[in-house]
Amino acid sequence: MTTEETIKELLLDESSHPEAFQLILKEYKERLYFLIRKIVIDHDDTDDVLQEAFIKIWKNLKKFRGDASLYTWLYRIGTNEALTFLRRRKDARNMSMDENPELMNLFESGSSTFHITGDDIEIALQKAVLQLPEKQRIVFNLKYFEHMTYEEISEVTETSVGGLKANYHSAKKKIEDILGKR
Amino acid sequence: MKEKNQNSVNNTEASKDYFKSLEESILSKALGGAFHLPLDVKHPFVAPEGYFEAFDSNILAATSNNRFHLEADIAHPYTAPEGYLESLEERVLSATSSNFILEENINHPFLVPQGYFEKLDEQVYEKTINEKIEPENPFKVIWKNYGNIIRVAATLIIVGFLGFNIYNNQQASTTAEELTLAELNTEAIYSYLEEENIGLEDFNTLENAFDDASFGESSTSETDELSEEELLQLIDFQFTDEI
Repeated sequence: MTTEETIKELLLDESSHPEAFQLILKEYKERLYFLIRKIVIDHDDTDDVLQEAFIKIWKNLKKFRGDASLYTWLYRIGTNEALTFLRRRKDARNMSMDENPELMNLFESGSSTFHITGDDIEIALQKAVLQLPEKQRIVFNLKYFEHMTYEEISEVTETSVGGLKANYHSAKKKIEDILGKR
Repeated sequence: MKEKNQNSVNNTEASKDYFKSLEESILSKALGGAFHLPLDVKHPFVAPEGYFEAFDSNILAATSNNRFHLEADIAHPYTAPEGYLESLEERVLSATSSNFILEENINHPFLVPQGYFEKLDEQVYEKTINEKIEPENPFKVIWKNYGNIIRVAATLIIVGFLGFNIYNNQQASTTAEELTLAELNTEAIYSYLEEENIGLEDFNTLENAFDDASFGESSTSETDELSEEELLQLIDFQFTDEI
């Protein structure tokens, strides 16, 4: 039995929800951390969003439908929490969602600390991704880094597979253009 | 089989010779011994070597009014510098951005501070599974259950109070002229006296005026000390006096 199946079985009985939650935390904390980190960039912001996401997961365990994929349900909560965080901050500063100068600054300041490291192409790819519009950035991250199928991404973002394919190919083309001009 | 074939060839040649000699004998008999030209005499002319190969181009050249006829396979005289063509592809690819191909396995560069995930477990448990549920404030419970009723009741009370006040003010305005000195508080009297520049002498005059009008405290204090029976007698007495 896989961990996801074990968790789903535990979720059937409300008295075993704490045990199910402990397993979720153990199994998915790292994946959710990096999913959120790639959206909000800064470690401290990621920490805040991740904790909020786990609180939301805990409060909504009763609402989880057993027939759905646990993994995509968790990713949806994580992604929505990260986007809500960015929107709140951008609303406060009257910025559009597709403007990311702040994230670029955070990325560059993170590069000077030990929270970001990697070779030239890894850094260059992240900078290129930060130049994408919000939706394309999310789709690209889920497809390229998380290796999710379009059907899974569709469950996470609640958009059509056709639209996702167009978004991904457009994002990939832009990234190749940006990296080609280096 | 071979022999058979050889025999048939020999037979064909023999028959050719036969017909040739037959033709000769018939002609000599017919012409009566006169000279006749054999039928298979060949001409002695020979064309110059390569004449027929060059014939087409010679005719074309002659029939095109001396225009130059460009041959199909003339090679160009140019040569590229050594190694130019080998490096061309790479240089073009690097110059045109659209030909950059994103590799599949580039990682993200993000790191996690040491020990972060161990601390995260505790922090999340404190806010979820181990969260202390404090007994709810009774006022909050009442507000949660009867909030709407309380809101409506509060609105009705405020509206009622305002209505009552407005009604009272209207009543008060009709009796404003009946305001007596006793209804004024001490501070109001002092401020009035200061504003009107009234001195002690004026005040004494005012006191005397009150005495004259039988409003003095002494008269009321005297009546306060009287019994009910004495009061009735006094009223009767004053009433008969006035008559």
